[in-house]
Amino acid sequence: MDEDKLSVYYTPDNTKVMRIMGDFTNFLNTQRRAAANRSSPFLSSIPFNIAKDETLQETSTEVVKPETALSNVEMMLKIKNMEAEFESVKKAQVKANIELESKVNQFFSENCHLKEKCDDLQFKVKQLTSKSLELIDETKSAKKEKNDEISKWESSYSQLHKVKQEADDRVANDLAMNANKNSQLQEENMNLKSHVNILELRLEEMSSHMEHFTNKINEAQEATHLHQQRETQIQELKRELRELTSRLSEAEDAEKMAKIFKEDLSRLRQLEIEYKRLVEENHKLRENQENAFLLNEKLLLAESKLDRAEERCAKMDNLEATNNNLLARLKSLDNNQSVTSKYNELSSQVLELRHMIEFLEERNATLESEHVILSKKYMSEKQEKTVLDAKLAEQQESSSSLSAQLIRLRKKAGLLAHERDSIRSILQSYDAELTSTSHTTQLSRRLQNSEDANRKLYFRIEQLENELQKSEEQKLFHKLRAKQLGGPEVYPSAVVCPTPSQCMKSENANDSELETLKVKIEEYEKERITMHDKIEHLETWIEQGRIKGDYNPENTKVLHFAMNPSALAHQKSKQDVAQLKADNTELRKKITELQQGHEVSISEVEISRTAKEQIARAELRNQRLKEIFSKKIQEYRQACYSLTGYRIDTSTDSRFKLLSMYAESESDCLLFEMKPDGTMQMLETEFSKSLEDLISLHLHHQNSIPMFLSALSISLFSQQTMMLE
Amino acid sequence: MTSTKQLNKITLKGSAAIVSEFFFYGINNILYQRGVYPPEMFKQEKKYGLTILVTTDEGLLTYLKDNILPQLTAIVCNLTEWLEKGAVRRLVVVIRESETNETLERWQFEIQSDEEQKNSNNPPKPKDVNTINSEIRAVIRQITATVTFLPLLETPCSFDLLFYTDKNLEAPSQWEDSSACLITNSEEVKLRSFSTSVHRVDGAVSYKFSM
Repeated sequence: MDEDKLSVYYTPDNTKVMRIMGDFTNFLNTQRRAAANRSSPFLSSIPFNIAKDETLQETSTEVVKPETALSNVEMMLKIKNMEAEFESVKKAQVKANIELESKVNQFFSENCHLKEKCDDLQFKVKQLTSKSLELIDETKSAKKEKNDEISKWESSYSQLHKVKQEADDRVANDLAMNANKNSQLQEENMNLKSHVNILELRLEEMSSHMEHFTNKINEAQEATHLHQQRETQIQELKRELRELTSRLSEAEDAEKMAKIFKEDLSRLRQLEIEYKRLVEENHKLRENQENAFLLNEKLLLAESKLDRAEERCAKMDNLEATNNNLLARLKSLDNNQSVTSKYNELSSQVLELRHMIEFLEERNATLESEHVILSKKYMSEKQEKTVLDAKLAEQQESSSSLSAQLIRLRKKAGLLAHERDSIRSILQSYDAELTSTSHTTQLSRRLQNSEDANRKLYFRIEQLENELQKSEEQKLFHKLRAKQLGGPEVYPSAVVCPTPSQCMKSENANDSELETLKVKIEEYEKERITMHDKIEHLETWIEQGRIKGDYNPENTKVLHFAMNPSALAHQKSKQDVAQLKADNTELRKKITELQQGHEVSISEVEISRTAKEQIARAELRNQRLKEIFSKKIQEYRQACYSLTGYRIDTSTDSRFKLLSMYAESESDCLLFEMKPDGTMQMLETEFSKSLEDLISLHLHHQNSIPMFLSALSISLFSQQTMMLE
Repeated sequence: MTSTKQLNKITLKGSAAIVSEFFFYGINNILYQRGVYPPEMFKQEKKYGLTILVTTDEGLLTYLKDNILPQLTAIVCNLTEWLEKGAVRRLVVVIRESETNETLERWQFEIQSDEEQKNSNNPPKPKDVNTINSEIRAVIRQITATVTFLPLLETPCSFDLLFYTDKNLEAPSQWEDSSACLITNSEEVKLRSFSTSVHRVDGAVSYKFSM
């Protein structure tokens, strides 16, 4: 109370108080001097006086100053006491007044609260009543439904009852029927029993059959086993068949190859046949030649004999001439008959001469006969010679064919030599190009072998060539001989030509050699083909190797740029791997340490602990902030509600629902929407439709939402208060 | 005689330029098609009447343009000299696994000089640039088509370029000897070839064959 007073009077001006305080001390001093032995109540009342002094400074200062009589003082004291009492009473009254006012206020607020509560309660009551009404309706409808259901049930019960009765009747009928049936069934049962007996008998039969069948089944199973085995066999056979077909295809290929070979062989055979034929012809020719030689000799002999006979014939002519002369002389002598002695002599001479003539005639006859024989022989020999000439021509033809063959063979030899050279060069190049050593040794061996073979072949070819030359020479000789035979018939000289037997021998030797050579040539041909194949194979191999990237390290080297991308990438990957490995080992160590549980470094523990603490703190802070925020929001909402009289809810984003404190129901709310630029816009609700006047006035004309809201709260408040009154 | 020599030299240089250009685009095409580098590292470029993807990576471009191609042109230009010595030249694009350095693919291009023909009295047949380009186009198309049968490169890979040169060649300091990077179990496919009037390039690819 006192403080209130002071506050009331202090607040206007502090300086004034200070002055009063000075007056107050003066007054105290005077009081003490004037009445030193005065009782304490005076002193105790001083503060009140001071207070009063302070309150009534303008009046009291003038009154206190002069010093008067004790009565006055007493009176003054009494007055003051009275005043003080009055003041206290006044203060008490004021206090009471204030208390009363506060109480009134309290009551008023309580009243308000109560009113609100009452409103709420009324609202609730309304709701409840509406709900109760609804419930009553529901119960009524439910009752009706139930009644309907009950009636339905009853009707169904009656129906069921009827049904039950019917069923009972039926059951009775059925029972009777069943009894009849039972008897029938018993009879049937008897019958069935007899049947069963029969069936048992049959069963036994059947069991015997069964055994029979089981045996059969076993047999069948065995058969199936066999069948399966056979199937497996068939499958194997099929596999074999497939293999065989594959083999067949291979064989077909082989056959094709064989056909080609056969063709070659057939050609070879033809050649052989030709060769044989030629050899035979050669034989025949030789025989003919021999015959020709013999005949020639005979011819020569016959010719010499003929010459001699002719000479003798000439002599005979001479002798005849002499004889004639002598005969003439003899006649003359006869005529003369002069000398008989001479005649005798002459006659003897004539006789001798006659003998001589006879002898000569005989000889002449023989010679003539010989001449005839020789001429016949000559004719026959001429014929033989023509035959021989024809044969010679044939032989010449054959020899020309042989020479052609020879040329061919020479060509082949040349080709072979060329091929050998090429093979050697290829192999050399391959050798040079080949990098891997495993094949080089094999290849070098092969090369050597082929070279040896080639060398042999070459020698053989040379030999063949020599033989060929010889045979050609011989052929020439034979030609000459034939010409000699065809030309003037001269005795063959032993110097010019060897005897036919020698010729025969040499030709025989040539034939045998030729045959062997031919065989060898064939062999070499085959070898050549195989070598050719090998060369092709090796060439393809070398080509493949070249594609693969083989090179000859002797004359080639491989270069690359030192800082190539691959090297860099490899280096980087190595570094990465090393880094990862290091990390891995470190982490593994850590894991093992963690598993062991004690050797974790203190720093790590501290770090983890501090981190955990920080997390916990942050979480706690978050929690608190949430709580505070929710609290503050609640407070703020409450403050808004109590200050503005509107409860603001945010239903969706940027939409606000306002419900007035004085609203009649929860549905009497307003909806506002906030636009992106921050302005508010009112949305239409059921409640807002009833506020067209306010909206037109405050929103349309004044364009102020707060005004509209306050006007609305005023109107609602007035309505509420009216309702309460 | 001198005039013809000069002419030959000019054609040789021109041919070397054509061959090295082919290698630039061919290598780029291989790198893109085989996925040695990611596709975003390539840009499209028109060449030989085709759209060829060329790398945009600076490091790769400097490696190809500053280190490889000048060397290649030099080597190709010197081919005549070396052919007399009987050396054979090849360029091999080796694709390797980065981690293990295992060779997965070899793109081999054998460069043959037609000098021998030229030295023999027959003068070289003058070849039209368009026909050469069409041949090169066919080779590059074939390289692109090989992707269909070559096995997928599943691991990160990188590439290297190998030169088969004469043993007596003095290489620059940044160059060093290398292995041939052969693939043990490989399948080979021959590619098309093209020829300028001076050079002939035969392509082949061998790749690791795994069942």
